[in-house]
Amino acid sequence: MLALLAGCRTPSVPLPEANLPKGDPKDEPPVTRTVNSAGGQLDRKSDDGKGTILWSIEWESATLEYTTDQRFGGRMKNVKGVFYTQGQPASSFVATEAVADKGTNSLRLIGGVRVTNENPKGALYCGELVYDGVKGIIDAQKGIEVDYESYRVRGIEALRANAKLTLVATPESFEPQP
Amino acid sequence: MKLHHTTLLISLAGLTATLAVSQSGQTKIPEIKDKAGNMWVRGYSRMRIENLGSGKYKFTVSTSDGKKLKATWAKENIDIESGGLECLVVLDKTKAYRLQTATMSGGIVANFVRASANAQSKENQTANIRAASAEYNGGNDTVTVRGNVTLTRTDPGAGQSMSATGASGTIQLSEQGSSANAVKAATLNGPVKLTMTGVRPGDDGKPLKYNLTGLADRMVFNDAARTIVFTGNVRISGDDPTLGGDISGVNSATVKLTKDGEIESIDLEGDPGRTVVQDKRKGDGGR
Repeated sequence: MLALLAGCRTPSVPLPEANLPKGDPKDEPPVTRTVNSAGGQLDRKSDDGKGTILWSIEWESATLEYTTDQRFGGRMKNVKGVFYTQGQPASSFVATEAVADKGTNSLRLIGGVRVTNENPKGALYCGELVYDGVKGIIDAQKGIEVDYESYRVRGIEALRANAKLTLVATPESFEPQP
Repeated sequence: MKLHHTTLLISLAGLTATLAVSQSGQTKIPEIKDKAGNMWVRGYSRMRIENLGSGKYKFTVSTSDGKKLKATWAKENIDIESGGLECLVVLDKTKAYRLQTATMSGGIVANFVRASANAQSKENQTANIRAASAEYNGGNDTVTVRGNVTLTRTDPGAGQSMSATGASGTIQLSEQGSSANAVKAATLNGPVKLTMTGVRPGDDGKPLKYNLTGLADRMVFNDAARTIVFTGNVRISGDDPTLGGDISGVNSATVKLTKDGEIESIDLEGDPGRTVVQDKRKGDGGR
Protein backbone atom coordinates (compact mmCIF):
# COMPACT_ATOMS: atom_id res chain seq x y z
CA MET A 1 0.00 0.00 0.00
CA LEU A 2 2.77 2.39 0.71
CA ALA A 3 4.06 1.51 -2.67
CA LEU A 4 2.42 4.79 -3.50
CA LEU A 5 5.17 6.42 -1.46
CA ALA A 6 7.79 6.15 -4.11
CA GLY A 7 11.27 6.52 -2.77
CA CYS A 8 10.35 4.97 0.53
CA ARG A 9 10.58 1.43 1.66
CA THR A 10 7.38 0.14 3.17
CA PRO A 11 7.31 0.91 6.90
CA SER A 12 7.37 -2.18 9.01
CA VAL A 13 4.16 -1.11 10.68
CA PRO A 14 1.01 -1.60 8.59
CA LEU A 15 -1.04 1.55 8.09
CA PRO A 16 -4.83 1.73 8.50
CA GLU A 17 -6.61 1.11 5.22
CA ALA A 18 -8.87 4.08 5.88
CA ASN A 19 -5.88 6.44 5.72
CA LEU A 20 -4.84 5.43 2.26
CA PRO A 21 -5.73 7.62 -0.69
CA LYS A 22 -8.44 6.31 -2.96
CA GLY A 23 -8.83 6.60 -6.70
CA ASP A 24 -6.33 7.60 -9.36
CA PRO A 25 -3.97 10.28 -8.00
CA LYS A 26 -3.79 11.83 -11.45
CA ASP A 27 -7.42 12.78 -11.29
CA GLU A 28 -7.26 14.54 -7.92
CA PRO A 29 -5.08 17.17 -6.23
CA PRO A 30 -2.56 15.65 -3.81
CA VAL A 31 -4.04 14.74 -0.50
CA THR A 32 -2.00 14.56 2.67
CA ARG A 33 -2.63 11.67 4.98
CA THR A 34 -1.35 11.29 8.51
CA VAL A 35 -0.71 8.13 10.42
CA ASN A 36 0.71 7.48 13.84
CA SER A 37 3.18 4.66 13.88
CA ALA A 38 4.93 2.65 16.52
CA GLY A 39 8.39 1.34 15.66
CA GLY A 40 9.20 1.27 12.00
CA GLN A 41 11.74 2.00 9.35
CA LEU A 42 12.01 3.27 5.84
CA ASP A 43 14.52 4.20 3.18
CA ARG A 44 14.40 7.54 1.45
CA LYS A 45 15.30 7.30 -2.22
CA SER A 46 16.04 10.00 -4.73
CA ASP A 47 13.16 11.26 -6.83
CA ASP A 48 15.29 11.67 -9.96
CA GLY A 49 14.07 8.40 -11.40
CA LYS A 50 17.18 6.48 -10.39
CA GLY A 51 15.85 5.65 -6.97
CA THR A 52 19.23 5.98 -5.30
CA ILE A 53 18.98 5.48 -1.58
CA LEU A 54 19.71 8.73 0.31
CA TRP A 55 19.15 7.78 3.90
CA SER A 56 17.43 5.12 5.94
CA ILE A 57 15.84 5.58 9.31
CA GLU A 58 14.33 3.53 12.09
CA TRP A 59 12.12 4.96 14.83
CA GLU A 60 10.40 3.94 18.01
CA SER A 61 7.33 6.11 17.40
CA ALA A 62 6.34 8.49 14.66
CA THR A 63 3.69 10.66 13.13
CA LEU A 64 4.06 10.21 9.41
CA GLU A 65 2.62 12.20 6.56
CA TYR A 66 2.36 11.00 3.03
CA THR A 67 0.63 12.34 -0.02
CA THR A 68 -1.08 10.90 -3.01
CA ASP A 69 1.66 12.40 -5.22
CA GLN A 70 4.15 10.09 -3.66
CA ARG A 71 5.89 12.32 -1.14
CA PHE A 72 6.74 11.37 2.42
CA GLY A 73 7.37 13.29 5.61
CA GLY A 74 6.90 13.04 9.30
CA ARG A 75 8.24 13.43 12.79
CA MET A 76 9.92 10.45 14.38
CA LYS A 77 11.12 9.81 17.92
CA ASN A 78 14.22 7.96 19.10
CA VAL A 79 15.69 7.36 15.72
CA LYS A 80 18.72 5.68 14.26
CA GLY A 81 19.76 5.12 10.71
CA VAL A 82 22.29 5.48 7.95
CA PHE A 83 23.33 8.34 5.69
CA TYR A 84 24.15 7.25 2.15
CA THR A 85 26.25 8.92 -0.50
CA GLN A 86 26.10 7.75 -4.10
CA GLY A 87 24.00 4.84 -2.95
CA GLN A 88 26.59 3.57 -0.48
CA PRO A 89 26.40 3.68 3.33
CA ALA A 90 28.55 6.55 4.57
CA SER A 91 27.81 6.94 8.27
CA SER A 92 25.35 5.98 10.98
CA PHE A 93 23.32 8.26 13.18
CA VAL A 94 21.19 8.33 16.29
CA ALA A 95 19.03 11.17 17.60
CA THR A 96 16.15 11.90 19.91
CA GLU A 97 13.97 13.13 17.11
CA ALA A 98 13.90 13.34 13.34
CA VAL A 99 11.83 15.37 10.92
CA ALA A 100 11.55 14.48 7.27
CA ASP A 101 10.07 17.11 5.01
CA LYS A 102 7.81 15.96 2.23
CA GLY A 103 9.14 18.56 -0.15
CA THR A 104 12.86 17.93 0.15
CA ASN A 105 15.33 15.09 0.30
CA SER A 106 16.62 16.33 3.64
CA LEU A 107 16.40 14.78 7.05
CA ARG A 108 16.56 16.90 10.19
CA LEU A 109 17.87 15.32 13.37
CA ILE A 110 17.19 17.03 16.68
CA GLY A 111 18.55 16.36 20.15
CA GLY A 112 21.44 14.18 21.20
CA VAL A 113 22.62 13.76 17.64
CA ARG A 114 25.57 11.46 17.01
CA VAL A 115 26.90 10.61 13.57
CA THR A 116 29.55 7.91 13.44
CA ASN A 117 31.77 6.47 10.79
CA GLU A 118 33.84 3.34 11.28
CA ASN A 119 36.44 3.73 8.58
CA PRO A 120 38.06 6.10 9.21
CA LYS A 121 36.73 6.08 12.73
CA GLY A 122 35.08 9.31 13.69
CA ALA A 123 32.05 10.85 15.34
CA LEU A 124 30.17 14.10 15.13
CA TYR A 125 28.11 15.19 18.14
CA CYS A 126 25.68 18.09 17.96
CA GLY A 127 22.29 19.33 19.06
CA GLU A 128 20.81 19.48 15.61
CA LEU A 129 21.67 18.73 12.00
CA VAL A 130 20.21 18.59 8.55
CA TYR A 131 21.36 15.98 6.08
CA ASP A 132 20.92 16.80 2.41
CA GLY A 133 20.69 13.34 0.91
CA VAL A 134 21.17 14.51 -2.67
CA LYS A 135 24.31 16.55 -1.98
CA GLY A 136 25.52 14.20 0.73
CA ILE A 137 26.17 17.13 3.06
CA ILE A 138 25.61 17.42 6.79
CA ASP A 139 24.92 20.86 8.29
CA ALA A 140 25.28 20.75 12.06
CA GLN A 141 24.75 23.28 14.80
CA LYS A 142 24.46 23.56 18.59
CA GLY A 143 27.04 22.03 20.87
CA ILE A 144 29.21 20.73 18.06
CA GLU A 145 32.08 18.39 18.75
CA VAL A 146 34.01 16.34 16.25
CA ASP A 147 35.81 13.35 17.73
CA TYR A 148 37.74 11.97 14.81
CA GLU A 149 40.19 9.09 14.92
CA SER A 150 43.12 11.35 15.62
CA TYR A 151 41.79 14.85 16.35
CA ARG A 152 39.06 16.75 18.15
CA VAL A 153 37.27 19.95 17.19
CA ARG A 154 35.31 22.01 19.70
CA GLY A 155 33.89 25.46 20.12
CA ILE A 156 32.42 26.15 16.71
CA GLU A 157 28.84 27.23 16.20
CA ALA A 158 28.16 25.67 12.81
CA LEU A 159 29.75 22.86 10.86
CA ARG A 160 29.37 21.41 7.40
CA ALA A 161 30.66 17.92 6.66
CA ASN A 162 30.43 15.22 4.09
CA ALA A 163 28.60 12.09 5.11
CA LYS A 164 31.79 10.10 5.69
CA LEU A 165 33.16 12.89 7.90
CA THR A 166 36.38 12.95 5.91
CA LEU A 167 35.81 16.64 5.25
CA VAL A 168 34.58 18.92 8.02
CA ALA A 169 34.52 22.70 7.88
CA THR A 170 32.79 25.82 8.99
CA PRO A 171 30.06 26.30 6.38
CA GLU A 172 31.69 29.14 4.40
CA SER A 173 34.95 27.17 4.15
CA PHE A 174 33.49 23.87 3.04
CA GLU A 175 34.17 24.47 -0.62
CA PRO A 176 37.89 24.74 -1.39
CA GLN A 177 39.02 28.35 -1.68
CA PRO A 178 40.53 29.38 -5.03
CA MET B 1 29.24 30.16 63.42
CA LYS B 2 26.34 31.42 61.36
CA LEU B 3 28.57 33.99 59.80
CA HIS B 4 30.98 31.27 58.83
CA HIS B 5 28.16 29.27 57.29
CA THR B 6 27.02 32.27 55.24
CA THR B 7 30.55 32.95 54.15
CA LEU B 8 30.91 29.35 53.08
CA LEU B 9 27.70 29.54 51.05
CA ILE B 10 28.83 32.75 49.37
CA SER B 11 32.18 31.19 48.64
CA LEU B 12 30.57 28.11 47.14
CA ALA B 13 28.23 30.27 45.05
CA GLY B 14 31.20 32.23 43.79
CA LEU B 15 33.06 29.05 42.96
CA THR B 16 30.08 27.69 41.06
CA ALA B 17 29.76 30.90 39.09
CA THR B 18 33.46 30.88 38.33
CA LEU B 19 33.30 27.32 37.06
CA ALA B 20 30.29 28.12 34.88
CA VAL B 21 32.05 31.04 33.30
CA SER B 22 35.16 28.96 32.84
CA GLN B 23 33.30 26.12 31.18
CA SER B 24 31.36 28.52 29.02
CA GLY B 25 34.56 30.25 28.03
CA GLN B 26 36.20 26.97 27.09
CA THR B 27 33.44 25.89 24.79
CA LYS B 28 33.43 29.23 22.99
CA ILE B 29 37.09 29.07 21.98
CA PRO B 30 37.30 27.20 18.68
CA GLU B 31 39.96 24.58 19.04
CA ILE B 32 41.45 21.71 17.08
CA LYS B 33 43.72 19.23 18.85
CA ASP B 34 45.34 16.02 17.84
CA LYS B 35 44.79 13.26 20.33
CA ALA B 36 48.48 12.74 20.97
CA GLY B 37 48.74 16.31 22.25
CA ASN B 38 51.34 17.38 19.71
CA MET B 39 49.26 19.85 17.73
CA TRP B 40 46.66 22.35 18.70
CA VAL B 41 45.11 25.23 16.82
CA ARG B 42 43.01 27.79 18.64
CA GLY B 43 41.15 31.03 18.04
CA TYR B 44 40.11 30.64 14.42
CA SER B 45 36.75 31.67 13.03
CA ARG B 46 36.88 29.57 9.87
CA MET B 47 38.29 26.11 9.49
CA ARG B 48 38.46 23.23 7.08
CA ILE B 49 39.87 19.78 7.80
CA GLU B 50 40.30 17.29 5.02
CA ASN B 51 41.41 13.69 5.46
CA LEU B 52 43.64 13.09 2.44
CA GLY B 53 44.17 9.42 3.25
CA SER B 54 47.34 7.54 4.24
CA GLY B 55 47.46 9.45 7.53
CA LYS B 56 47.67 12.85 5.84
CA TYR B 57 45.43 15.74 6.78
CA LYS B 58 45.08 19.24 5.45
CA PHE B 59 44.02 21.93 7.90
CA THR B 60 42.96 25.37 6.72
CA VAL B 61 42.08 27.91 9.40
CA SER B 62 41.67 31.65 9.42
CA THR B 63 40.39 34.50 11.51
CA SER B 64 38.31 37.57 10.85
CA ASP B 65 38.60 41.19 11.96
CA GLY B 66 42.38 41.10 11.96
CA LYS B 67 42.54 38.72 14.90
CA LYS B 68 45.28 36.13 15.19
CA LEU B 69 44.92 32.41 15.61
CA LYS B 70 47.50 30.38 17.48
CA ALA B 71 48.97 27.04 16.50
CA THR B 72 51.52 24.87 18.23
CA TRP B 73 53.44 21.74 17.36
CA ALA B 74 55.18 20.46 20.48
CA LYS B 75 57.62 17.96 18.99
CA GLU B 76 58.59 20.39 16.27
CA ASN B 77 58.97 23.20 18.84
CA ILE B 78 56.98 25.56 16.66
CA ASP B 79 54.53 28.24 17.76
CA ILE B 80 52.65 30.25 15.16
CA GLU B 81 50.39 33.28 15.36
CA SER B 82 48.81 34.34 12.11
CA GLY B 83 45.65 35.54 10.44
CA GLY B 84 45.49 32.49 8.23
CA LEU B 85 47.16 29.10 8.23
CA GLU B 86 47.08 26.24 5.79
CA CYS B 87 49.05 23.22 6.84
CA LEU B 88 49.68 19.68 5.85
CA VAL B 89 50.26 17.20 8.66
CA VAL B 90 50.95 13.50 8.74
CA LEU B 91 50.15 11.07 11.50
CA ASP B 92 53.18 9.44 13.11
CA LYS B 93 53.38 6.16 15.03
CA THR B 94 52.36 7.88 18.25
CA LYS B 95 49.24 9.30 16.55
CA ALA B 96 50.77 12.77 16.67
CA TYR B 97 50.21 15.19 13.81
CA ARG B 98 53.65 16.11 12.50
CA LEU B 99 53.88 19.34 10.55
CA GLN B 100 54.98 18.92 6.94
CA THR B 101 54.22 22.30 5.44
CA ALA B 102 52.54 25.47 6.63
CA THR B 103 51.48 28.52 4.66
CA MET B 104 50.94 31.46 6.98
CA SER B 105 49.30 34.74 6.03
CA GLY B 106 47.68 37.84 7.43
CA GLY B 107 50.68 38.94 9.50
CA ILE B 108 52.62 36.16 11.13
CA VAL B 109 54.78 35.53 14.15
CA ALA B 110 56.53 32.18 14.28
CA ASN B 111 58.81 30.89 17.01
CA PHE B 112 61.17 27.98 16.48
CA VAL B 113 62.76 26.78 19.70
CA ARG B 114 66.02 24.90 20.08
CA ALA B 115 68.25 24.05 23.04
CA SER B 116 70.82 26.68 23.93
CA ALA B 117 74.16 26.61 22.18
CA ASN B 118 75.53 26.74 25.71
CA ALA B 119 75.17 23.16 26.91
CA GLN B 120 75.32 24.36 30.51
CA SER B 121 72.26 26.58 30.10
CA LYS B 122 68.72 25.43 30.78
CA GLU B 123 67.31 28.32 28.77
CA ASN B 124 66.32 27.64 25.18
CA GLN B 125 67.29 29.66 22.16
CA THR B 126 64.56 30.93 19.87
CA ALA B 127 64.36 31.98 16.26
CA ASN B 128 61.49 34.44 16.06
CA ILE B 129 60.20 35.31 12.61
CA ARG B 130 57.77 38.12 11.85
CA ALA B 131 56.50 38.83 8.37
CA ALA B 132 53.42 39.58 6.34
CA SER B 133 53.38 35.97 5.14
CA ALA B 134 55.54 32.88 5.31
CA GLU B 135 55.84 29.32 4.14
CA TYR B 136 57.37 26.62 6.30
CA ASN B 137 58.74 23.43 4.81
CA GLY B 138 59.26 20.74 7.45
CA GLY B 139 61.23 18.59 5.00
CA ASN B 140 64.23 20.88 5.24
CA ASP B 141 63.17 23.19 8.08
CA THR B 142 63.09 26.19 5.81
CA VAL B 143 60.91 29.27 6.08
CA THR B 144 60.33 31.54 3.10
CA VAL B 145 59.18 34.97 4.24
CA ARG B 146 57.70 38.01 2.53
CA GLY B 147 56.85 41.53 3.63
CA ASN B 148 58.27 43.47 6.59
CA VAL B 149 60.45 40.60 7.65
CA THR B 150 62.10 40.54 11.05
CA LEU B 151 64.27 37.61 12.07
CA THR B 152 65.40 37.55 15.67
CA ARG B 153 67.52 34.85 17.17
CA THR B 154 68.05 34.96 20.91
CA ASP B 155 70.08 32.60 23.03
CA PRO B 156 70.10 33.94 26.59
CA GLY B 157 72.12 31.00 27.79
CA ALA B 158 74.89 31.81 25.36
CA GLY B 159 74.50 35.57 25.76
CA GLN B 160 73.91 36.03 22.05
CA SER B 161 71.26 37.68 19.97
CA MET B 162 70.87 38.61 16.34
CA SER B 163 68.12 40.58 14.70
CA ALA B 164 67.69 41.27 11.01
CA THR B 165 65.03 43.03 9.02
CA GLY B 166 64.34 42.87 5.32
CA ALA B 167 61.68 42.80 2.67
CA SER B 168 61.81 39.09 1.91
CA GLY B 169 64.03 36.10 2.35
CA THR B 170 64.66 32.49 3.17
CA ILE B 171 65.58 31.18 6.58
CA GLN B 172 66.91 27.71 7.16
CA LEU B 173 66.56 26.47 10.71
CA SER B 174 68.78 23.98 12.46
CA GLU B 175 67.59 20.40 12.78
CA GLN B 176 64.89 19.81 15.35
CA GLY B 177 66.42 18.73 18.64
CA SER B 178 69.72 20.33 17.72
CA SER B 179 71.56 22.73 20.02
CA ALA B 180 73.33 24.41 17.14
CA ASN B 181 72.42 27.94 16.14
CA ALA B 182 68.66 27.93 15.63
CA VAL B 183 69.27 29.83 12.40
CA LYS B 184 71.40 27.62 10.21
CA ALA B 185 71.33 30.00 7.29
CA ALA B 186 69.41 33.07 6.22
CA THR B 187 69.17 35.14 3.10
CA LEU B 188 67.35 38.43 3.40
CA ASN B 189 66.69 40.84 0.58
CA GLY B 190 66.54 44.47 1.36
CA PRO B 191 66.96 46.88 2.32
CA VAL B 192 68.41 44.77 5.10
CA LYS B 193 69.44 45.76 8.59
CA LEU B 194 71.29 43.38 10.90
CA THR B 195 71.88 43.95 14.58
CA MET B 196 74.10 41.60 16.57
CA THR B 197 74.94 41.64 20.22
CA GLY B 198 77.12 39.27 22.16
CA VAL B 199 79.51 38.83 24.96
CA ARG B 200 83.11 37.73 24.55
CA PRO B 201 86.21 37.82 26.70
CA GLY B 202 87.85 41.22 26.52
CA ASP B 203 91.56 41.88 26.33
CA ASP B 204 91.59 42.07 30.12
CA GLY B 205 89.81 38.75 30.38
CA LYS B 206 86.59 40.32 31.55
CA PRO B 207 83.34 39.74 29.61
CA LEU B 208 82.96 42.33 26.87
CA LYS B 209 79.61 43.15 25.36
CA TYR B 210 79.67 44.08 21.71
CA ASN B 211 77.19 45.43 19.13
CA LEU B 212 77.30 45.24 15.36
CA THR B 213 74.90 46.88 12.92
CA GLY B 214 74.98 46.13 9.21
CA LEU B 215 72.93 47.78 6.47
CA ALA B 216 72.87 46.49 2.90
CA ASP B 217 70.71 45.55 -0.05
CA ARG B 218 71.16 41.88 0.74
CA MET B 219 72.44 39.73 3.58
CA VAL B 220 73.46 36.09 3.60
CA PHE B 221 74.16 34.42 6.92
CA ASN B 222 75.73 30.97 7.02
CA ASP B 223 76.25 29.40 10.42
CA ALA B 224 78.40 26.52 9.15
CA ALA B 225 80.75 28.87 7.30
CA ARG B 226 80.40 31.36 10.16
CA THR B 227 79.96 34.22 7.74
CA ILE B 228 77.61 37.13 7.20
CA VAL B 229 77.93 38.52 3.70
CA PHE B 230 76.46 41.95 2.99
CA THR B 231 76.13 43.13 -0.59
CA GLY B 232 75.01 46.42 -2.07
CA ASN B 233 75.25 49.78 -0.33
CA VAL B 234 76.95 48.23 2.66
CA ARG B 235 77.32 50.13 5.91
CA ILE B 236 78.66 48.47 9.03
CA SER B 237 79.06 49.99 12.42
CA GLY B 238 79.59 48.75 15.93
CA ASP B 239 81.37 49.24 19.19
CA ASP B 240 83.56 46.14 19.15
CA PRO B 241 87.23 47.13 18.94
CA THR B 242 87.69 44.29 16.47
CA LEU B 243 85.61 46.29 14.04
CA GLY B 244 88.07 49.13 14.18
CA GLY B 245 85.58 51.66 12.86
CA ASP B 246 82.44 52.28 10.85
CA ILE B 247 82.42 51.09 7.26
CA SER B 248 80.43 52.51 4.38
CA GLY B 249 80.62 52.89 0.64
CA VAL B 250 81.55 49.30 -0.20
CA ASN B 251 79.66 46.89 -2.38
CA SER B 252 80.38 43.81 -0.34
CA ALA B 253 81.48 42.97 3.18
CA THR B 254 82.01 39.58 4.73
CA VAL B 255 81.88 39.37 8.49
CA LYS B 256 83.69 36.28 9.71
CA LEU B 257 82.58 34.94 13.08
CA THR B 258 84.30 32.69 15.54
CA LYS B 259 82.66 29.44 16.53
CA ASP B 260 81.30 31.27 19.56
CA GLY B 261 79.63 33.83 17.36
CA GLU B 262 82.12 36.59 17.99
CA ILE B 263 83.38 38.86 15.22
CA GLU B 264 86.68 37.51 13.96
CA SER B 265 87.28 39.70 10.93
CA ILE B 266 85.59 41.81 8.30
CA ASP B 267 86.67 41.64 4.65
CA LEU B 268 85.67 44.40 2.26
CA GLU B 269 85.39 43.77 -1.45
CA GLY B 270 84.15 45.41 -4.63
CA ASP B 271 84.48 48.87 -6.00
CA PRO B 272 84.15 51.23 -3.11
CA GLY B 273 83.42 54.81 -3.99
CA ARG B 274 84.48 55.80 -0.51
CA THR B 275 85.39 53.79 2.55
CA VAL B 276 85.16 55.44 5.93
CA VAL B 277 86.82 53.89 8.90
CA GLN B 278 86.23 55.37 12.28
CA ASP B 279 88.61 54.11 14.89
CA LYS B 280 86.59 53.79 18.07
CA ARG B 281 89.68 53.89 20.18
CA LYS B 282 90.58 57.30 18.75
CA GLY B 283 87.16 58.85 19.09
CA ASP B 284 86.21 60.88 16.02
CA GLY B 285 89.69 61.42 14.79
CA GLY B 286 90.17 58.43 12.60
CA ARG B 287 88.71 59.72 9.32
